[in-house]
Amino acid sequence: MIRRAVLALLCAGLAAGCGAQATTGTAPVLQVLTAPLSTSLVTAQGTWAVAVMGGSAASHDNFWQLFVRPTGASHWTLVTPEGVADNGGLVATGGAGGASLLVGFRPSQGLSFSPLAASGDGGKNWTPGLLDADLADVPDALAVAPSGQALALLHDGSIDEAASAAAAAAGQWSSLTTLGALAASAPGHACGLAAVNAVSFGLDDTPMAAGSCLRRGVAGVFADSGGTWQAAGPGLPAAFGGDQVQVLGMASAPGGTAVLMTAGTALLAAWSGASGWTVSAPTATGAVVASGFGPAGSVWALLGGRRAEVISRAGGSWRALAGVPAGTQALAPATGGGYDALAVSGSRLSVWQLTPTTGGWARVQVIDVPIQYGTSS
Amino acid sequence: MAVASVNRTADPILALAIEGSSQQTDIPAYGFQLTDQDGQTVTLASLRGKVVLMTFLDPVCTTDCPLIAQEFKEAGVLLGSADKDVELVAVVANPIYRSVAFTRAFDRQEGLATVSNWLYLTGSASQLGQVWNEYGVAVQDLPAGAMIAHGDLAVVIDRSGYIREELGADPGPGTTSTQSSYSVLLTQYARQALAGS
Repeated sequence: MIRRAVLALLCAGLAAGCGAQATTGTAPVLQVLTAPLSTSLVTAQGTWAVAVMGGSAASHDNFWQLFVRPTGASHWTLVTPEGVADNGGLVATGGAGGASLLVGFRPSQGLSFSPLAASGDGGKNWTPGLLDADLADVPDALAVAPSGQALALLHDGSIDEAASAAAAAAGQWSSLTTLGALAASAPGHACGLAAVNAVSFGLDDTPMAAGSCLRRGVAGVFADSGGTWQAAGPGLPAAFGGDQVQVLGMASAPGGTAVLMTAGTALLAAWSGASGWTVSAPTATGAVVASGFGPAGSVWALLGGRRAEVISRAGGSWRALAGVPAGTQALAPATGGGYDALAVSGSRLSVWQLTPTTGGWARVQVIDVPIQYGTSS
Repeated sequence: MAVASVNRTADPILALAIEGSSQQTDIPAYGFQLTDQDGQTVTLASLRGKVVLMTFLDPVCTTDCPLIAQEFKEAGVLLGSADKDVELVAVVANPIYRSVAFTRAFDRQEGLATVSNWLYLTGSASQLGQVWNEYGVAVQDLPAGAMIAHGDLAVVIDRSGYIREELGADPGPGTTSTQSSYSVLLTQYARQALAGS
């Protein structure tokens, strides 16, 4: 889990609470938490995983990689799109109903904008695109609706939109909102919005945003209804009324939306559906090392101390997996409800699978990635 | 940016020390036809009558290319009134990220969008490949998240379309000592080409 260096002090974003607390000289403070970029996602083409490999970031020898395990296949393949140095990180999202994948390159060093790459054939071929802005450093900074409409969360908390995949490829993005505007909206004001951490699409291609609230007990999930932002998040049990809530991830799920969030020291998942939101029981959070969403709204989280917790949709409870192998950067849902663990050591990726008989991890594949050390320094 | 403001006293010997000596030539420059950042067709023949300082830049490069672009921009400043007789030209050195959208984004990033004699040219992959080949610039697509590898080359083309100088375009370490030395060198060659015509 990444703690942003700047503490959020947004009295302007609070209603009565801020004023009341300000009179006592104790303005609400929030240390914004975001999820690292290492993650996995599932589309119709297959299961994708993002991991950082190579050497140190300080010497620009950290290169982010994209892997895919095609639907029906048992092995992973390196499919990192070429043509751009990706030391700043990769952000991936499924698009067009899962029939394509859109990848954003976060800018690094002398680059200030974000090249994009889209693939409709499982990563074999890529089409370049452009976001002439600084893509946010969170795994859910991009979203594509079944219609092709796209959202991009920027580093400053603004959200840009593109009307279609073609528009996104041509760099034709426009502003949907800014952090300030969303924080000043009625639902943003009510939550004391301090940061936007994820974007997604809800039912009917409704743009959605989620973030960190200063007001305790409020989950900051918002939907854009015809140009007006409305509160769209789950109501949390009273036990969390004293906790600040921060959404770490958000994704489209069958029938609605799935979110992963922290509330105080607890980690919660929630899913929306026709009858409203279902909120999971909590699990102890610690540091979230990586997280992601699987098919049918399942959620996984890697926690400190090699802990891994997974949960299936509505009604399920968190399930602890066996301690993950050293270097594990991401989990990826496998067939039969199992998981792969993708572990990195330098330029080597090891894929581990849970063995049903022992409940332990067994290494099933090794990929040596041709890291181009020194090319970004 | 890593490159600071123009250092008018920078010593071009530093740039030569980094790159090695430049090479004087007297060969006709390859007559390309490409598209500028405004979508307009540009040929080398259309630049006849001006001295052309030309290099090869990857619009999504994270390291040297932004520095080289700044050195070209500074060379324009150093040329003063002679700037009107010089065209600053870059050709895209990326076979994938090569559309006009990217040359425009690069220009905005580097503050080049308002430089009147700056041209950032692109074309189809085959058009670009032909230009790279004719000017001897190797461009290689590298795997696993690395940027495109390409040769650092700058050429000085005189008013008649002849290449007068070929020099490495790597701006070097960008220290206080070397800042602008490359742009001073470019300026020097441009002035020589202007005087020789």
